[in-house]
Amino acid sequence: MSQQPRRQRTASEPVLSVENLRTEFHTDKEVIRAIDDVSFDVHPGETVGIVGESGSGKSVTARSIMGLVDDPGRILDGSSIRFRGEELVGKTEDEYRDVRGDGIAMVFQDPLSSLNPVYTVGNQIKEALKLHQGLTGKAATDRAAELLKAVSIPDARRRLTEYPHQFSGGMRQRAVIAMALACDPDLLICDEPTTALDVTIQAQILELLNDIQDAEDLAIVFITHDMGVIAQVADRVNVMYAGEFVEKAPVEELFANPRHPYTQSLLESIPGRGDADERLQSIEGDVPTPHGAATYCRFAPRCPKAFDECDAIHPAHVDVGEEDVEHTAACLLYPDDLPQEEALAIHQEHQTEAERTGDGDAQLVDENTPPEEEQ
Amino acid sequence: MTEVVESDESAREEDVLVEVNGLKKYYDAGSLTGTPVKAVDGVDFDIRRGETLGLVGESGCGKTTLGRTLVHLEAATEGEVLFDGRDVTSLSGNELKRWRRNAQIVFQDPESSLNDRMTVGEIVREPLDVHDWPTLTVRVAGDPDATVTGDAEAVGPTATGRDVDVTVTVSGDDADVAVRDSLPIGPEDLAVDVDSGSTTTVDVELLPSKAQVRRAHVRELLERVGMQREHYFRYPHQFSGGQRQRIGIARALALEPEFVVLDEPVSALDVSVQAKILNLLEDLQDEFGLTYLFIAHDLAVVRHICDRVAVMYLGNVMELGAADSLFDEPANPYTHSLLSAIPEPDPTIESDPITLRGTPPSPRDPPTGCPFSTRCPAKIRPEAFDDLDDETWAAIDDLHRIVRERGRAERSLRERAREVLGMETRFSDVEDIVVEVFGRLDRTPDTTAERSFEAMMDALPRDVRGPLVDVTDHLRENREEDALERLLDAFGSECDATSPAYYDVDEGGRVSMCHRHDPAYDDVGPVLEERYGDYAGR
Amino acid sequence: MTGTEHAVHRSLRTRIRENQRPAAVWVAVLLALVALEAGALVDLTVVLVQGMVKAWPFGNPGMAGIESAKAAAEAIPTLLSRETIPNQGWRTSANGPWTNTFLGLEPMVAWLLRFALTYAYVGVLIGWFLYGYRLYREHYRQADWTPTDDVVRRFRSHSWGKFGFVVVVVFVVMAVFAPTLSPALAEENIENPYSYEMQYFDEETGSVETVFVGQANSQSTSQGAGDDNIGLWQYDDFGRFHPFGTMPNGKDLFTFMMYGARVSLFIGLLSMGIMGAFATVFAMTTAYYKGLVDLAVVIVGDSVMSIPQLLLLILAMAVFNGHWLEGIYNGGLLIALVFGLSGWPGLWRAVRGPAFQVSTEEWVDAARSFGQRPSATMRKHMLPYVVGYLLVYASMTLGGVIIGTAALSFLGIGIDAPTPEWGRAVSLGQPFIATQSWHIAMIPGLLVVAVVTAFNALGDGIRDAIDPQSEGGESETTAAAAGGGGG
Repeated sequence: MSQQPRRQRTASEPVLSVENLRTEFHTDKEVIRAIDDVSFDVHPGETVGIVGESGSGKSVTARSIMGLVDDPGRILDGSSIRFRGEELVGKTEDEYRDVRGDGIAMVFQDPLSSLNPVYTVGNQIKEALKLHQGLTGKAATDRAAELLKAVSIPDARRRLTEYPHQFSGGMRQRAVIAMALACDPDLLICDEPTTALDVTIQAQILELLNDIQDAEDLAIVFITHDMGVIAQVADRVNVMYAGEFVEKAPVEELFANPRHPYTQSLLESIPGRGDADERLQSIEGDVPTPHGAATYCRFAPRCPKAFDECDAIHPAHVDVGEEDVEHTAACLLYPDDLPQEEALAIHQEHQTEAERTGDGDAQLVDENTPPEEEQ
Repeated sequence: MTEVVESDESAREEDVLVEVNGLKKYYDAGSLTGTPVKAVDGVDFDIRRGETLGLVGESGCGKTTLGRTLVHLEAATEGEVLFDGRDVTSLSGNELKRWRRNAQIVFQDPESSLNDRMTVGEIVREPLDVHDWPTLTVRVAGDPDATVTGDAEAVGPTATGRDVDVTVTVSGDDADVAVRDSLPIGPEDLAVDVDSGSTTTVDVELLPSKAQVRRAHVRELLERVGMQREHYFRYPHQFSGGQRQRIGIARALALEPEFVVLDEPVSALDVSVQAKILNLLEDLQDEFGLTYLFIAHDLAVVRHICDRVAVMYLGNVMELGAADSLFDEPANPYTHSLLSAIPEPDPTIESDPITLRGTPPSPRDPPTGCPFSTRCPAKIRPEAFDDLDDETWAAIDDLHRIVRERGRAERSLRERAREVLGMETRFSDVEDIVVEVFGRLDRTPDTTAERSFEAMMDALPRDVRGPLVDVTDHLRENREEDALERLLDAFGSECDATSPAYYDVDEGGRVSMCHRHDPAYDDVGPVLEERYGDYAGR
Repeated sequence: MTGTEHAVHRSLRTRIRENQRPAAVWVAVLLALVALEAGALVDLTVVLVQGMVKAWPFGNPGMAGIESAKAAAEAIPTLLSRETIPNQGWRTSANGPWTNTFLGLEPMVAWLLRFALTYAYVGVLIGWFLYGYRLYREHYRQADWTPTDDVVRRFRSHSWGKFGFVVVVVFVVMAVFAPTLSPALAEENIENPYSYEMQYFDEETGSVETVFVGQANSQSTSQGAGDDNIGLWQYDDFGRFHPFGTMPNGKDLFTFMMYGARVSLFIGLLSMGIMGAFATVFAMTTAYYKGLVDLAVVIVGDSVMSIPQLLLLILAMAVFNGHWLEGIYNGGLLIALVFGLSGWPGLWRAVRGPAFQVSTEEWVDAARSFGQRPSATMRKHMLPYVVGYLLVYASMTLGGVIIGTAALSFLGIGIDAPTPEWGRAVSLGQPFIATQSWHIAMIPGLLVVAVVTAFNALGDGIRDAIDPQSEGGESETTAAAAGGGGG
């Protein structure tokens, strides 16, 4: 996406490669562009974090990768999701089912609703085992017990015969992770897996995921709104706002040198970062609901550093980091080592390029009026 | 159940608004089935006027129940709550209704705390309608025997500040009228007539209708919390989570309370919105002189906004003290664990938290002795086993938890029948459990080492093996209680036997509930360092 | 303080005063419409009063006054009355013109005209009310949007619900306007046919003859055999038009149906009223207080539910035979009472769930926290959320009651003769179902099916309208699009 020379990638092939992903929802009232031109990679053994607030589209990203976006939503043409080299966009439901569980597994936020309350936990794990590995009977039960042990659920055999409501919240999430791991996936997508859990239980789950990742060389996509959690689990981070990635960087770099004004404001509004006596920094306004392709910077109405051009030019990702650090941000302020007109010209070029090659299936909605501000 | 060992006299001299003594709230206390849920199990603390007391803990610790009991949404099972010296747990009827004006609550879920069928204005106005606000209280300056008639009523002799709405100074037949600032009316809205006969009679009539006064008050409130006056006629559905929470705050402040319980007011909001609401709450506290009880599970938020903090676990207050010092130098092992479990938004910190094992026990079945005894990382170990390594101890603790769980597990009728007949049930595989717990002393997820029960037992030290064999025997016969007893007998300590008292742990009046604060034992900090090394936290 | 008031809040009266024209026009047209039928309204009220007075077992006070009131009421000219558009006329000569009908049209056309006009009038009236609502929304309502708007919008796009609504309206009009819609009056044709006379052109004698209605009936029976049958859309030998044919006893089936609709509607509404009242009160109190109150109502409700309704009805009819209670509507009131008092647990249980759900919402707690009275909390904070479900289940239960009444009458233990009731018509026509007189059983049967289905459809429509979740995921997708899990 950037015109400047790309940094060298790590040697191994990415497990997941998402490029130009665009997802739209067509309801009676409106069209919602939930994801607008998102691209990222995940390599084996690494954890890629996606962080953003509600309304940013991070859950839709996870569902798009898993092929769980149903009518009236659809992934637009021009999007590409490559898993182990295989293109997922355009697959039929049956084909996708082969990939799910076996290759990509997902852990959702609310374990109570991801587990069926009328079946025992063991039953549900064995169902996954039967589907993907053909195990039945005693072999399946043994493997299920092994899996529960692997996620540190004590007294595993007895627990297999229990129902989800007999598990505590943390244990349920472990059981869900066990189910996700049942078929040795290469990629695990975790959509806010610890948001509903207490902080001590959260620590247990994060530790568990860490252990599993080390043991299996698992690639993880970790979605959350909690910057603290991201700091602990992620290797690389993508910051999402209103359907777009606004900044992408390795985790230490992101926290040490946040470049995009949104990232900066986000970090400043976390209590505990600054002096306890000062007022917390906050961002005025609300996250907008995007209705089509962006023709301007979506954060501009709330950005403390916005200037006129921000309402007219859509920023593209440019390198903002040091030499061998892969750090990009989508902001008209960068690249800041060039005079402003040149920098703007680079962004402008990208925009015209995107318009020229066509925005997939969607029309470039003429959004001249930025969304109105609620106080 | 717990007692204060030393009382800090200087603390008593502070202006205390709310005093809680031995408060208990049990659910299903008199039920025919099973044991009651001990949501709040004997809690003592004070809240000083004008301060923000934080109440933190994880889910199930009872903090929400405690907050609700303080505003009388739940009836206390035992204990007393003194509000300005007056016990409010026994209030009922009209007195209760009158008192409610002083204590309000802001709820957690902005989606569910506002009735979608009512407009914002109606929602904030409803408390005013219920209490027929404003009941104009009039003080006739210098004449306590004067009668007040009309739309107003005379105020008691000891009333001050917020309790006096109108002050009338009589000079002959004239009257000089002053109205309290925070009311949306002024002297021009009152018709005051003085009749100085044998006793002075002051007649006060309110010129605009009460409905108008209420509307004006609501609009002012909406502005104060950061909404706009026009929003009076909109529906909650049309607003975002943060704005809905502002409306909830406005509603809580409508009756001008002194004390506000904030039940996780920012937990459901995004970080940037959270910041705005927290700033707002601080501003309102300064402006209206409010006292807050701030219930939360996010320690960073609590540290930012609270003066003092109480840490709760399983219905008990484990530690209570000034926020800064509590977070910088926690005394209680639970506080240590809680703090070390918070993920820091700083990736350069190597996090190696004290990861608590197991889950909190059920409030129906709290542990005997200290409530934290089943998971405490600093638990006192009997001297005989002083030299046993930490991993083995972890395994023993795991077994302890498993045995407790089994004791509570539901057994279907069929299983019981099978047990009696000596047939195999899902509880039979006792040996496998013990092997699993003790055989895997390094915590890698998958282990292919298949060890037999005997081999594993032989590998253990003798003084551990003996009790374990007994425990296994008991379990095989489904005698969980006996197994538990044997375990505690061998590996238990003071922590399992008695509940600790509150000890003063620093100069500032901080108290903590832990046996280790007794000089007979090593203190918490050094023990944790010894067992866990340099863990993140403190 | 007062200065800033006016900018924001104006009362309804002020708002109307500011923009008078639309309101004035609407009210004027409404008055005109009502005036057209003023006479019927007055008449209806008088009839109701008369009915109640007649049924009062302790003497009949003021009957004379009522009689004169009735006469006066009947004298008021109304558009859609039998006087304005009469259809019961006769030929003066063999193929000559008709007299005593509207404009000399033949009875069929006159009746059809009146029938169509009545429905047109109702349609216009309903449409005018809807228009009035739109006017209000556009010009006079202060809020831009209310939750009701969404409900209305969803209902308008729900075809099945609209179908139900239309058929229910047709049914209600049948009941309310029965005298106007029927070719004959029930009093004359069905209840006391030997007290009234009519005129017709006798082809044999070649002149206009007078005969008792009862005699005419006895010669216009439909009993299966070829000649002895007046089927659909036929004239009988006496110059009377029968849209639905006649019954085995010669009475006009269409009139029977119209007046039968009245009985069904009366029973349905009364029993629904009783059930609804009980169910609402109990649902609110059990959801608010829970605990012991809930337990008590559950026990009582289950006990009532355990009694088989049919047996209870038979028992009631037998025990109250000859009692004044049974006299009202020939058993109609009794049936309604039994249905109501034995059917409320079902309705209560249906809305108990939503009531409990709403009682756990935080705003109910909030109301308690500032000292709101329980009755006000139940009314303002809980009831609006339960009313929708109540309507849904009530409309479905209404269908059930109608079918139940018809079944009872079919079995002969429901409404007694001569009060018309659809079920009894089915029973009367049953022996002839395979003959040329199939219409006697078939038409009432089909009508029952149509009406009950319509009530169910209406219930479906209301349920889908009030419950946003059921809308095939519109709000779901917005939620999903807006970032799903986190909100």
